[in-house]
Amino acid sequence: MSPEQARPVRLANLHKRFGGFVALENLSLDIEAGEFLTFLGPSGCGKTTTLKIVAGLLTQESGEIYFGERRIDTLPPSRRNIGLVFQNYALFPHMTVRENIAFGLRMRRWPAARQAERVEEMLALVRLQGMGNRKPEQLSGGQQQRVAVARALAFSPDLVLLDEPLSNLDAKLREEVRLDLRNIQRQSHQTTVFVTHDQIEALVMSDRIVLMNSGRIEQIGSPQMLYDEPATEFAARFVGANNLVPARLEVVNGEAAARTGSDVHVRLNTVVPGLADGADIWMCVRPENIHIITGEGSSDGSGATVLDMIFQGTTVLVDLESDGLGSLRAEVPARHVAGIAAGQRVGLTFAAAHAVPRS
Amino acid sequence: MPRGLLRVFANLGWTVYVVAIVTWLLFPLSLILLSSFQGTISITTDVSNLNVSAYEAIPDRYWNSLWFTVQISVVATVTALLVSVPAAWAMVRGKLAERRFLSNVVLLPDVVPHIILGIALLTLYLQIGLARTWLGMLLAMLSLSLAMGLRFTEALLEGLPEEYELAAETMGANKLQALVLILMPLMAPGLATAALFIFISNMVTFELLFFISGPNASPIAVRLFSDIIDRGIMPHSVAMASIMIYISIAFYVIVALTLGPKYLAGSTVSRKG
Amino acid sequence: MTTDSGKTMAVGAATAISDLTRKRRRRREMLYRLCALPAILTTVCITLVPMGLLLWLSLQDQRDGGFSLRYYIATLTDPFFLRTLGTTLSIALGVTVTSIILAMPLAYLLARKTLLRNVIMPVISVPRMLPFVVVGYAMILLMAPVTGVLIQALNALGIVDGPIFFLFDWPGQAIAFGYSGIVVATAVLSGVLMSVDRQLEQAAVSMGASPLRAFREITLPLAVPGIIAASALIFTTIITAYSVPVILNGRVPYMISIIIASNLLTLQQHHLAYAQAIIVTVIAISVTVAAQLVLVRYGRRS
Repeated sequence: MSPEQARPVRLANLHKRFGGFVALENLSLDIEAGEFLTFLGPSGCGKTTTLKIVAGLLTQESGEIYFGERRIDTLPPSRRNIGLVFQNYALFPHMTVRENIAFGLRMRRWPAARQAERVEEMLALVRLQGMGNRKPEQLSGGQQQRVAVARALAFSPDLVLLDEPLSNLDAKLREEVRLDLRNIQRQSHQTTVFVTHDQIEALVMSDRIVLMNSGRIEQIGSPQMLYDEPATEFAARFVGANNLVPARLEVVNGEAAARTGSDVHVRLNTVVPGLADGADIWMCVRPENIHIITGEGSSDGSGATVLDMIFQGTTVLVDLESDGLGSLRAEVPARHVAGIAAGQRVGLTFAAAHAVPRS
Repeated sequence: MPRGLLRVFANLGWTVYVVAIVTWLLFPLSLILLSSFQGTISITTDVSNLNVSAYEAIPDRYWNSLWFTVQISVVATVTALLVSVPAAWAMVRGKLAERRFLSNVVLLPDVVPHIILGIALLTLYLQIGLARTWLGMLLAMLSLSLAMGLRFTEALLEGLPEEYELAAETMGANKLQALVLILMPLMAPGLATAALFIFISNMVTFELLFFISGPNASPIAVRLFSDIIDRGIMPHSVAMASIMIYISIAFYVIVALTLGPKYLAGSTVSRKG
Repeated sequence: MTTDSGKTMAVGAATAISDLTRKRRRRREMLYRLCALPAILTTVCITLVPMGLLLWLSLQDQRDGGFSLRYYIATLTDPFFLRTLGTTLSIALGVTVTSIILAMPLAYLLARKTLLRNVIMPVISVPRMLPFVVVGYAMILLMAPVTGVLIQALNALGIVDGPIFFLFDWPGQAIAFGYSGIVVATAVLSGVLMSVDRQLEQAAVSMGASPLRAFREITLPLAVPGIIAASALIFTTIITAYSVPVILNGRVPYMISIIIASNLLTLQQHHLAYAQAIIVTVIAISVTVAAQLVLVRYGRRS
């Protein structure tokens, strides 16, 4: 698979209903060639429906799908040239790893020698050399997962779809495998669409994330972008932990600030574009951006009372009842908590604050 | 102390009960076997002169009936599976609106009492000349095998995740290739089991075939029945009854060897319901 | 792509696609229907058509072919038929209940003790795959008035003197039915009991229930679907059995199937036999359907 062969993928106005339930509402999206794109969202948000429609396992009510200039949604699944990795891998239990990987090549009538060559190439890519003659049941969960990926990549598909492929792995393995997958994708330059409900997976692996909610796209952007500047309340709440405080936007001399009902004033570093002075907003502060000040000078910023502290290893979660901002949660490096205790009065400063519209 | 005594009595009670029931289930059958080797229906406790004279005396018409039964059982079993695999595939994977209805139609011969279906088939066969013929018997057996076959194959397919076929399709296989390359190999062991069970239940079918059988088309169960009516119980019919017991034992040995003993319990073996 | 013409094109394409999809879906449904067709056709020809014919003829006068309910009326007002039907149903009911009660402890034991199951299950399964006639043979060898082993034993022990005919009558039939009833019940019930999680009972016992109480309050309710299924199976098998009732018959026919068969085969009252056959079918199917309904309701409740 050479990058110049790869073609961009375009989804245009995909619409899907199940009975009265709108699963997908006029979804349009451009996927760049060679990109690792993730559909992220809670269950029922339409991400798997989109994937199934692209693969041809479901039929949309309206809308089109293009690979480059070629329309593919009129083709049956077998002729779309899409590699699909199922959630449970669906490795053929009666075939060896080699036969599983070669299946797509066999269907495309590749000559036997080229098939064998390609299978070895794939086994090397997913680091399973020498495992070719095993049956899927003889492999560990992580190995099965890699065979499923190799099988989907083998026939040089225009697009690879991964349907929550990590959800059947245990937590420790999942961390390893997501980096593996990322590396395999980088090496193969394969246009890849990954579906997950796990925001960490999405943040770690993707070039771009499509955040979905109730059949619609909430936000598209790089992981950094989604984390630092969520565009909606949903995005702010779904990706990463966040403190949301209702407030009103104030713009003075091009400087944005949030003013809460109890007249606390916080400077905003970033604001979703299009918000005007006086707009209702949610002020979003990430727990790690709340700094706790103890001892002298603690009366400067806004004050708070420590309610509870939850030790998690490298960091400690500190639950606070602030003066005027309601309850907040801060995440403090474990080495910085000396001197903080439940019931104590502390001062707070915000390293970064962001605003999203509030309706 | 009395607690321990109670336990002893309880265990004793269980043992007596189990021995009694198992004896009751095995004793009558062992009488058949004993009688077949004593060559008489008047069984004695004398086991010194066991012989196979009763087996040697089995007349040709018995062997013909047995062979006839094996033949139509095999043909009915194979045909039923050939027909029910695509049907089950259509019903399980097709998501047709009328699936339940279609499925129930095919399962109907299982619900209608066999004796009544036998009478109904006789009525029909008399009008179209199929009564007391090989083909007539085969078709009757087929209706039953088909119901069983569909039940088995539907359960098999429902146990196989659709992802296998879908995976094959996304990799470029058409529906037929998915069926032949993926589904059939995955179903093969289950189909072999199904074949075994359908075959043996065909072998022992009586009520369905009794009314439509004739002198030249007489399954072994019907033959054993008619002879007892016509001539009373004879040593050679007891010998043939023993052979049926051997066949049943052989069936369970094969099942136990190929599938393991756990398949012997439970409702998978159930002929109805 | 220019915006305006692009939009119109997209709308046109959208209609085209739904047409195409619909066509493809219809073609796929045709393929599935085609696959199901041979099975449906076979069953229609060799089950539905004959059953329909039976019903049709049962409603026709045997002499002039006109529509008539006389065979149903005659059957349902015939005290002999009704008495036999009553006997049949009570034998079936009695045998069913007895078989379930006798088989339940064994089934439970087999479900819980793997070693015992692996030894006993194959042995007691043998009668399940035998023609019922063979069970009849066994009963004759056991209970025949003169030569029966049981009769000989009773004579030898001096309990009776000479032949006994009593056993070779309806009790003999009940015993024969009970024989296969126990076999069926054991197999079905042990299957169901095996699927009842053992830990549930252990939990009950750990909370202070006696093992018997744990069985009665935990295991038994969970085994009810199996009991219903096994009962319906045994019951319908008995009311439509033919071979053993004939082989072990006494002076009076006790089983309904014998009346139907003699009307059909010896008395040449075909249409009467058809009407009676339909009545028996209705009874048998009602039992099966009722069992299904109870099962569905039971399944919904738990």
